[in-house]
Amino acid sequence: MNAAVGTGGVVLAFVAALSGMATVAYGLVRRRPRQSRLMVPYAALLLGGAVVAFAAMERAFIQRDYTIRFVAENGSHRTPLLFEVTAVWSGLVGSLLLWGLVLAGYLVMVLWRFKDRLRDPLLGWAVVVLFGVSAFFYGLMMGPANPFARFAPPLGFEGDGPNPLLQNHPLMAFHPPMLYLGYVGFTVPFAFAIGALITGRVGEGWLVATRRWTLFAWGFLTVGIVLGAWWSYEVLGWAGYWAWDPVENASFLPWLTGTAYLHSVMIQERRGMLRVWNIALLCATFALTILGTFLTRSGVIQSVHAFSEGSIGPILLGFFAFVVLLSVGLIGWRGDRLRSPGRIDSPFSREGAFLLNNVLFAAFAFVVLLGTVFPLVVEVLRDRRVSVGPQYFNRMTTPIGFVLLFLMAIAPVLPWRKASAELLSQRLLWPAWAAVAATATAALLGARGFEPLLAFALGGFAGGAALRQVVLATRRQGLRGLVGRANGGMVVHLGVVLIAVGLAASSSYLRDSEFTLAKGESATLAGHTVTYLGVSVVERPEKQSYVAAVQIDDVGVYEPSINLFRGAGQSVGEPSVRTSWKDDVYLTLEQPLPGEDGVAVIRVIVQPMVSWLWVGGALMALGTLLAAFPGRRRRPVDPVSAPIVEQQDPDGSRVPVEVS
Amino acid sequence: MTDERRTPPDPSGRVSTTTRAAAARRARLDPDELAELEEEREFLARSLRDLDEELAAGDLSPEDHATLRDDYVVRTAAVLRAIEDQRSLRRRATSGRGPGRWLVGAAVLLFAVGAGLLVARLAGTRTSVGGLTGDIRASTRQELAGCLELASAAMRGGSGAPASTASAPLLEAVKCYSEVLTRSPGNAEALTYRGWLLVRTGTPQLQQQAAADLDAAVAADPTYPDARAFRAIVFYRLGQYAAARNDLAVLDTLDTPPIIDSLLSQFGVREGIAAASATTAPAAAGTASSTTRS
Repeated sequence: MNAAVGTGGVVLAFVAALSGMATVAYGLVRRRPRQSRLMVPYAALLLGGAVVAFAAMERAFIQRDYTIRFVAENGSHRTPLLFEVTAVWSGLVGSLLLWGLVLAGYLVMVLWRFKDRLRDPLLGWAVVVLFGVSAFFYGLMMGPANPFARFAPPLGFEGDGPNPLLQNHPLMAFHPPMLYLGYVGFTVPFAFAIGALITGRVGEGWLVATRRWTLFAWGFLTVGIVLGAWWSYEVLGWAGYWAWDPVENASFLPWLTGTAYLHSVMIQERRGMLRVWNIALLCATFALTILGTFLTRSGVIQSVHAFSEGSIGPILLGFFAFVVLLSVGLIGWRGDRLRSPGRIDSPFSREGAFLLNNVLFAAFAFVVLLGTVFPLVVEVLRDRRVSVGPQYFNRMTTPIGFVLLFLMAIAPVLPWRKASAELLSQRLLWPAWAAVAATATAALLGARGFEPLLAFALGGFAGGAALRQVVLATRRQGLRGLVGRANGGMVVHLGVVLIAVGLAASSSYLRDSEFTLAKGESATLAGHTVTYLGVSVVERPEKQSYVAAVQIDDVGVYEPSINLFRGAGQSVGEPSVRTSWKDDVYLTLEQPLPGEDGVAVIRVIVQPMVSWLWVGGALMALGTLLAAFPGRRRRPVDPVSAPIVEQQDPDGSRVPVEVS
Repeated sequence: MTDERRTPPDPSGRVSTTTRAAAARRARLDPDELAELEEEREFLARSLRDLDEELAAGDLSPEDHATLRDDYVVRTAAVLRAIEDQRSLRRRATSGRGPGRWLVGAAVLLFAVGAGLLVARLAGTRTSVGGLTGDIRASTRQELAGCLELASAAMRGGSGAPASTASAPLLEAVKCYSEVLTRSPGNAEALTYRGWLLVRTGTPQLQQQAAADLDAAVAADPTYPDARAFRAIVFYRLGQYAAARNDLAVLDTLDTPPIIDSLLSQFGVREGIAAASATTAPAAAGTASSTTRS
């Protein structure tokens, strides 16, 4: 029943996507607007099929319908309901179902948002692209990645359940969907970019129309990445949040290019410049989401994220190549029209800073991409299995990160076109004092080492600049000063500063030790005393847990455990963390399990300021939301270069009223 | 674009005519304007074709056709002129790129080559359990498990291979244990196996370090059977039977894994010591490193 309904949904979605793409494209080529209007019913059918297919899979998991191979491989009677629900996206074909559903949802939202422009050829071509991408993914599900492939379960079959690591924390319910909303969300601006290239309307109109779509996709991706880091920290038991794992890199790459785009697009909106660059960034961002899909779903890498089954790798790689060739071809075709007449007047201007910021983000993305694909290339060309360790990534990206932090301080205070030394010194006074204060405080608290101190100084500098902008905006406009692209952007910057400081502190001053403790015995690390109180065995349907009770200082009892999952026969450690704004005390119960003598091996890791990462992530999400709402803006009908009415800043300088 | 200068607004909020002119010029360079003109050109061309078809079908009188056609032709000509104006304006505005682009290209190339060289230099061999990129901060136990895997593979591959070939994987495993020891200097297992692997390399210069490691391991954990067994083998091979016997005596009181007993049998330690005891006077027990140094 579930398989039949689900297959029907997939077929319906595929046929609707393919027909929608063909019909709308035909209507556009033959200039028959009436046919273009059929995009609405086709999109409704696509969404209907996607919802039916996804719901059928969820129902199959909840009912433990093992006649579906995917459910048999990832479901279990022993798995709690929450993780049965999330198991849909814990494997290859289920994650494609989620991808298809999100994309169909985005398509319908695009049509609803632009319902007054259905006859616009630019929108039409964008919809063709959205239908095309949907058709590709549902085509995969019709062929090599069939989610509803049948299975004949033997008598008494119970299933192993999802990978134990994927049923160990509720964050699994949020992290992947957020990533998908971000990944898939970038399809919308990409589709509009392609539409703009095909129609030749490569001015600023489509940029303005898709600004929020890009911002939300970026925001979801940001939240997805931060939640992924948090999941890694809370589940994997290594007290880390970022390992330069290829799957992490796969999500980080589109984030980097997307971030570059969000900055450089302002130059195009303001000055009509960087058209080729912006379109190339959007196309690269979308292409990188496909490359990320290839990396995570083709089985080329070994990681807990990588679903190593299936034979869709070459198809995804082919699609990636198609996207790149199509983008390059169209940009080349429209190259003449994309060339901008403007010049950057001075490097000491906001556009100059944004340009440098873009160069750095592009360099950052190149470094990460090179490190990620290098082992694959070497293996293909020289049949050698190599690995690129964190050393390469850290060595290359740390200086880039420092310069980006510095720019985060400078750019917001720079006016457009050019800045005088007097203006800069006036506006950078506050941030400079903040940098001095941050460095002095860190040094007084015992921070040592060039890199972390530089990070604190630059963090203070950038944070001071962002705070200055927020304070001035709220003094001018009250709470409305928090809203709009520029002001919301400053809140995002504050989040980034918290993350940068948290990264520097937690990685530079980490203390890690293992203690073999008898019951009642204590050990001390980095000023924290841990006392082992004993172990208990907890039986649950899906696992048997050895739970150690450990007292940390006088704060409370924490319970790291080792879970023996019955289905997979795998033991997985579950850390326990005492979090505070100052530092985290991270406990894991190590193998071997505590024996009759009651002796346990407990790993204790003390890291300062880890919680700043999560607060920073939350601030970034909040800032994205604030940036999505319009501040005071130029009339949409005005040309890009229309003058912005300036007003007096409380510090005496003239600032343009924010333009979103 | 350098001629565009934003001028301060007058108190009434109106903007200057200079800025208006600049805005108007920018609007003329807007590619969307050009696209609209091209769209209009297509529409007019299609309309002209439709007019001819309607005339041929008899739906339009020749007079009406001529009037309408003239009108469309005039409009088409105006649009074509506007398109050409826009294009030439764009050509003028975007011409004259300086040599800066070559500098940028060179900088990009330099950066790419630098990154490529660095990634090639820092890339290492991927183990069977390792990922393509990155690494999680493993616990000491996880690291030791990885090192043991390397050590086992090295010792399996070492049998029968030439010494120079055999020592490379052994030294790889030694490096792994050394990394563990940088974080946990007193770890008995790491000291024991690093010492034993150094012994197995057969390199004379490394034997002193090997003995020191085994001594340190026994000192760190006197009840660790592997350390006692390996050191007994070293003593035995050096002819220090009493010292070897001492370690074996302690070993006999411990819960020794069968593999350690097999190893001792493989080297014939117990039998050799027993045979030697029958013929030689007992020697003073000492540490492996002091014996090696002497």
